[in-house]
Amino acid sequence: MEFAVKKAENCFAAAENYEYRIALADQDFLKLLEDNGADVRVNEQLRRPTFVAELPGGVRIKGLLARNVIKVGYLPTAAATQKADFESWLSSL
Amino acid sequence: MEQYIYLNNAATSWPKPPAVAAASAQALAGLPGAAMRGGIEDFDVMAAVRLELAELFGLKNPARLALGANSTWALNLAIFGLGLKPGDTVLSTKAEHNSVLRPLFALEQQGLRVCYLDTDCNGRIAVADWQQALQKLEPRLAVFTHASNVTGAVNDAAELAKAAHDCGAMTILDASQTAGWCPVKLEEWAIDMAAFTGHKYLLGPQGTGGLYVREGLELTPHLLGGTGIHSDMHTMPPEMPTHLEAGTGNEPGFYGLLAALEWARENPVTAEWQRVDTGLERLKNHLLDIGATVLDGTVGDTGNAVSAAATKADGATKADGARAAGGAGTGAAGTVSPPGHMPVLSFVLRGISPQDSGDALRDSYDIIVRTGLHCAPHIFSCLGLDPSSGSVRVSLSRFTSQADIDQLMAALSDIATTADAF
Repeated sequence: MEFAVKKAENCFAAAENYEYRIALADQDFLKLLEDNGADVRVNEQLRRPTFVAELPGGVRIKGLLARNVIKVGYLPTAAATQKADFESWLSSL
Repeated sequence: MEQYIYLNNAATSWPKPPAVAAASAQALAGLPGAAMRGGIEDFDVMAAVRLELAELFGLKNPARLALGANSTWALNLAIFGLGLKPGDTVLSTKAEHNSVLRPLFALEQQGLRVCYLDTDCNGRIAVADWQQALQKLEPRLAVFTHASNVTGAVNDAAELAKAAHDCGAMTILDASQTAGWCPVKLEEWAIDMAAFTGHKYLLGPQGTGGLYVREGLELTPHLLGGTGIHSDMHTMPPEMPTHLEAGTGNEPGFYGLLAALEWARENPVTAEWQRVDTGLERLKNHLLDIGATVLDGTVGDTGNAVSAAATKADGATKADGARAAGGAGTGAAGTVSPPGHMPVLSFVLRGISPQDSGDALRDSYDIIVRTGLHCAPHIFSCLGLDPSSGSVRVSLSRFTSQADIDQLMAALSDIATTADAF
C-alpha cells in the first residue's frame, strides 16, 4: 500500500508522532491491525467516531473511523526502529 | 468546510477584526512605503503604529518602541543587547516561555548565572518570593512574564519591577500574553524593557511585534543592517527606534496591526471582560463537575478586590475552598476594573492524556485548543502536573460566544465519559 507520512507538530516532551495518509477504508484497516496483533478500541460515542489501536511493543495508532488519515505514536526510546517496522508493514499491505 | 470553534487565542488570536485583513491586503496592493523615501507627505505606518502603542502602553515618547517580528525578536534583542557578562546573575521564573528560557540558557552556557523562581500552584509569581530572591541573588537583570500562558495568572508587574529596582536590577517584562487584554503601563510601572507581539490579544497579524526600551537605556543591537538613513556609517545609527530596526519591516503586517489597534480603541476590551469571564467560569465549573484537574489564574487573583465580589466564585470554591477567585467586574462607581487573569485555563481530563483530549476535540468536534507544554516547560513542576504530558489549554477571546462554550462543554462531557475508549 502506498502512503504519505509527515511528522506531527506538537508541543509535547520527546514526542515521536507521525501522521499517515493511507489508501485503505477504515474497517479494512482495523481488521488488518487486529490481524497484526493490535488491541483495537472503537469509540462510537463521539460526534465523529474514533479508534485507537496498540501494537505489541507500544506503537499507538489512532484516527477517525471515517477518515483515511491515522496518527501513529512511537516510543521515544525506540522510535526509529518502530517507525521503520511499521512503515514496512504498511508497504506490505 | 467545517465551522471551527477556535479557542487557541493565547497562541494566535482569531478571528481578527475585519479591517485587519483589508488593511494588510491594501498595503500589499499599493506602493511600498519606501517608494517616496519617506517624504513628509507620505503616510508612515510604522510611526502611526508607534503612536497607537505609545497611547496604549502609557509612553511619552513613541520612538522608544522598536518594531519587529514578534516577542521572540524583542526578547532576544533585549536579553543579548544588555551586554551581560560571565559572572552576572539573572533572575527569572519557571513561568517563562521558551522565547525567554532559550536565550537565558544560551547565556548560562557563556558563564552567566540564571535563577528560575518557582511560581505558586496557580502559575503566579509571589511578590514575597520574588523580593527574597532579589535580595539573596542581587541580579543585574530580572526577566518576568506579565501572565502565565498556561494558567492565565496575571502578575503584579508594578510590584515586581519595583522590587527589582530596589535591588538594583534592570527589568524585562514579557507582555506577549497581556498586551491588548490587560492594562500594560510601562512608564507608570517603571519597566526598563518590554516585549510584545501583535498577533495575540492585540488582534493584529502574525509577524508584528516590538520592544520598548526606556529613555536613557541603550542596547547593543545584534541584528545589523540597512536602516535607510546614515548609510555611510559602519554601525547602526544611535537614535531610537532605528538603532534596533535593521532591514525592511513587515509593512503590510503593520498596516494590519494599525487597523487592529484603531478598531480596539473604538471597541474597548473593557466592555468584554465580564462577558468573557462568565464564559471562562462556566467552563471551569463544568470541567470540575466532570472530574477534570483545572489550572487557572482566577484562583488566587487578588489584584482586583473590588471586582472579586461581583464575580461568581463557585468554581474556585470547588477547587479550593480556602482560595478566592477574582475577575473583571463593575465596582461601586460603575468603573470596570481589570481582571487579574487572562481568559485562559488549562486542564487535564481524568484518565485521558491531554494529547488525546485535544485530538478528539479537533477531529471529532472541530474545536481547536492547544495541547502540550505550551513552550513553557518549567511551569508544570510548579502546578503539580506531569511535565511529560502537559495540559490542554483553552484560551478565549472577545469573539468567543457563549454558544462556543456550550459546544465545548458538551464535547468535553462526551470525551470524559468515554475515557476507557482512549
